[in-house]
Amino acid sequence: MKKVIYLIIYSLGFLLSCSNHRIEPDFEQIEVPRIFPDYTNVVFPPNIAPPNFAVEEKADLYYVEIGLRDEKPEIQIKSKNPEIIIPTRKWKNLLAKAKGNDIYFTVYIKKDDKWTKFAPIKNSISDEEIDSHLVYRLIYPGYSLWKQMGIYQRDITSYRQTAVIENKTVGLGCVNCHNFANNSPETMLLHIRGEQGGTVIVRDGKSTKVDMKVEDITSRGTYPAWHPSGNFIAFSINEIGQFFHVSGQKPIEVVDRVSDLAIYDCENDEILMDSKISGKDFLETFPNWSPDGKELYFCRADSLRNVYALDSIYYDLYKIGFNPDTKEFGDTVCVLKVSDKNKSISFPRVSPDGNYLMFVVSDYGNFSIWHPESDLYLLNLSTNEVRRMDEVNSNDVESYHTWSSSGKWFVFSSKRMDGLWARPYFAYFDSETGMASKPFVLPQKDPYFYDKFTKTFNIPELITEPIKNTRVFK
Amino acid sequence: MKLANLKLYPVIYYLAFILFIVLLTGLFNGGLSHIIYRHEQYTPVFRFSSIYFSEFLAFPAGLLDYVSAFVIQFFYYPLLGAIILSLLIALVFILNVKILHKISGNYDKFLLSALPALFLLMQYSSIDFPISVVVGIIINQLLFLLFSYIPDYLKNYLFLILFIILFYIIGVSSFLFLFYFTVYSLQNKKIILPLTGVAIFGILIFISAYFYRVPLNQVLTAGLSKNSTESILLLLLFLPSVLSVYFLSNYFPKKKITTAVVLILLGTIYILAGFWGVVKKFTFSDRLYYHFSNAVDENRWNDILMRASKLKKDDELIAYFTNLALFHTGVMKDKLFDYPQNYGSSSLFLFSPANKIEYLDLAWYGLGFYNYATQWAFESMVRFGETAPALIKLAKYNMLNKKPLVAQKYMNVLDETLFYASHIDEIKHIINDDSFTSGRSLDSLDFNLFINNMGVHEQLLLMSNYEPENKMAFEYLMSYYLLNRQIKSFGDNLWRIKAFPLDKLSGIYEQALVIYETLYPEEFEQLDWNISDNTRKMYAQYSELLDNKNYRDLKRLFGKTYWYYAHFTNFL
Repeated sequence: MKKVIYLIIYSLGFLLSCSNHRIEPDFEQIEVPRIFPDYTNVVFPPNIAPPNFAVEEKADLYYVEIGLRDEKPEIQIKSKNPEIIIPTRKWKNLLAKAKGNDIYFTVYIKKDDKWTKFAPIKNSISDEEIDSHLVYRLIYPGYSLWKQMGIYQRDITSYRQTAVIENKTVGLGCVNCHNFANNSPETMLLHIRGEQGGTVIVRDGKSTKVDMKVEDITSRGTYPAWHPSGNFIAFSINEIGQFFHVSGQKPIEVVDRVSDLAIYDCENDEILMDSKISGKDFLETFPNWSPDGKELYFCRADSLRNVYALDSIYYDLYKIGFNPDTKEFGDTVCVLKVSDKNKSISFPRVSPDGNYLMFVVSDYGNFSIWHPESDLYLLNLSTNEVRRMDEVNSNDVESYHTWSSSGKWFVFSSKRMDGLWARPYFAYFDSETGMASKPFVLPQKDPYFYDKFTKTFNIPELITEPIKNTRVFK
Repeated sequence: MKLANLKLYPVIYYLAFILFIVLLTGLFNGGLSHIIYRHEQYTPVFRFSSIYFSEFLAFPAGLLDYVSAFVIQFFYYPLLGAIILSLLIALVFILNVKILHKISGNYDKFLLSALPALFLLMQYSSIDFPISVVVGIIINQLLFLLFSYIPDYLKNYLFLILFIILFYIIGVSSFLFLFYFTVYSLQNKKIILPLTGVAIFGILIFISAYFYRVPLNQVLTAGLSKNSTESILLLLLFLPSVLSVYFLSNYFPKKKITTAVVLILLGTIYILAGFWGVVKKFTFSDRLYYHFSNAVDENRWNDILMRASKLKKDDELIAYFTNLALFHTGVMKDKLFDYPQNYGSSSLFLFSPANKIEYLDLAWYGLGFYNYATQWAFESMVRFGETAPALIKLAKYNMLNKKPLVAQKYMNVLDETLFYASHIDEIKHIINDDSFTSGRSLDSLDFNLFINNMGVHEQLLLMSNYEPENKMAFEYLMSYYLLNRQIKSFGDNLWRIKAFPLDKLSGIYEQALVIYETLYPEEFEQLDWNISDNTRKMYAQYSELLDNKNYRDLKRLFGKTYWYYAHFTNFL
């Protein structure tokens, strides 16, 4: 009997020793530790997957406490490796409690048998949920060739990624430019290039393949924008050229030799064109509708015949009225002129409440993803105030962006980690102040994922629910 | 144990197995060493990482490709690669013998189990046959061998489960497992389960196509040769060994002497058949490219020149390698016309990107156009996947192009491999290597200069203007003029040679100057260079032979001069 009691006590002692006791530090650092990815001072949505991170401090042992501000830790993780993998269930529980509050990540490291405690990393949990899925294309950030590519949807409340379409199913053709009406997968489209090419349009779960081609231009529809009604698709037709820089940090310049806008009428299967948004005098591209569907924003530059150098192509922000009932166009209006400042605008996106317009500014051209100086800007449509969004920009590329359905979040592509691969970053947007929070990169199960993954995240689009029937794209 | 007590047939099989390995290792380390090189160089690197593993779950028979990539990583050491591939092929033979013996209790006395192995040997004499085929067969055989040890009453229950799992791992090549099971079932006079297996096999193919969302033909070829006839033939070649075990062995001679004679005869036939197969599939050009590209990889430039001098055929890629070697050995200006230049200036660069994209970066890299070199290395990675050469080049070029963070990503990938991690240190220090000076001054260039908007001539002029000391740019520029017979441009640009101290001009340059002097005497007067008496004498002799139409002597005596090239070369 003694033996049994001894064994039980011994085993319990062993089990307790394995559980995470709080650490009494030998030293305390007044600074926060370096962690990767940078999840410090950010605002997380209350439905985000655990933001696993790696502590970038050398140590023999790591211990991390995560909890609500001023409260005992809800999550304790001890690890011999610097990678801190947060248990999903505990994280979800914490998020449920932490809505609208701050949380902390307190990191301890053990070196030479001494524990050092770092100052807690502060993050906040928003009240506002983010749309549950992110759709992006994964592709090598290359030039003219491609082999493997696909459009994927990632459940951002977990790490689950599934293929929407992979080009192996369409004869290795190029698949691109997925676009959704009102962040809904019920009304969406994507382009397939190659022998089995066409634009696959899904409306109310039914798909059709159309050839978005207009007369006199060899290219097909490129950048699309769904009308809020789901009945029209504005799209650009771009004939592009690629030019490789002899030297310097920019490897390539992509130029539209010809670029016009048109509108596809889904109900009547016809393409509407107007000389106000097409023709030889200007290059028009990047259409985007106002939430009421009565105005179409786009970028416009002088045609190449008036330009002598590729670094002298500047796009300004324009809009044109559109009557969905009569299908008539109004007048074009210059909303924001930056060409006189030797700057260029791309990717205008109006917020769902119609109060703001986010866009990208670069030094010239429209292919901002290859321009390290590209930054996000915000135009207040009520006051016409424009500001550079310094709270989200970095020293490298900030480019393609999408609002969430609520307008409380947005996602954008940034190459801030290394200058070549774009990753999706999220930021909370306060529509009252027009200010955004510090952005954070899409969490991955492996904290070092972005250090090793060699494909780029292209065209991040937030959607409210997953695309259920992906077979329509086959 | 006494020798007389040893069972004859197992000894024969193991001897044959060892002989197989020894002969094949010799072959794959010798005349077929390019096969090992090709797989090692063109297979994306195997990475010890979950991201890498998860990529293989996205397509049919992906796990088979994963295992194959694991095997191929050992091809890094050519001898080890040769041993592994030989072992795999030989295993197909010995495992088939063992399985059939386990099922039937009989031996394959006619050694017909060697047929699939011989067929594989034949296929692996060509660079295109995927390693996954033999790996798939071995997985089938090993699993069935293990399966055969399971008690009979459990076999029927486990068969379908194992078969479905196997199908998930290796795709349609799991048909071999079904084949063995059918043989086993027929022995026990059962047919229902094998038929069910066939039906399930068909259903699994459709499910797989649906699940992975790929066309049916992609499921049917996953993990197998792209040529379906080859795959079917390979499976059919397992049949004779079954016939041998059940029927033919009864007719095998019983006397020891006769047995020995028949076995020696069979062994000879199989060796000859194997040799015939290798010869039939062997492609000389693959072997040739291997020699050249391997020498380029290892900077054995003299080897390239030596091989090029013996070559009797015209080949643009080899002409391109030869010109690179001429520069790197410092003899371009002396021996440019010692080698066939039937492609003119095209062979200074490669202009058929579709064919040999993986080598396009080399000239741009040497010249110091790191952006363009990076682009071509990247395109090569897109086409062939994350292969070791592409990753190493991309890391190197990005370091030289002052993009250490981008370079680091490629190094991170290399760091996850077993053998290529050792290259990282070398890459990290490349920026401090003084020998890489080309292209350094380009940073100050107007960024609106686009390399693909320029002709080769403009590109070489640009580099020569910005970096007068860039020797490759100078020698390529002059070679470009000579190969294009632009004698005026050659003479007009000869002043650039001042950046490279010389006592006298090379023979070729003097030969070109003779023509320049004849055509542009006034301009020639302005040059600082004289033509030696010897060259003038040679030209007089050349002219005399030309006037007399003595073409044979002209070629014999002057076939390696610029004059002969200028007069007689017809571009391909």
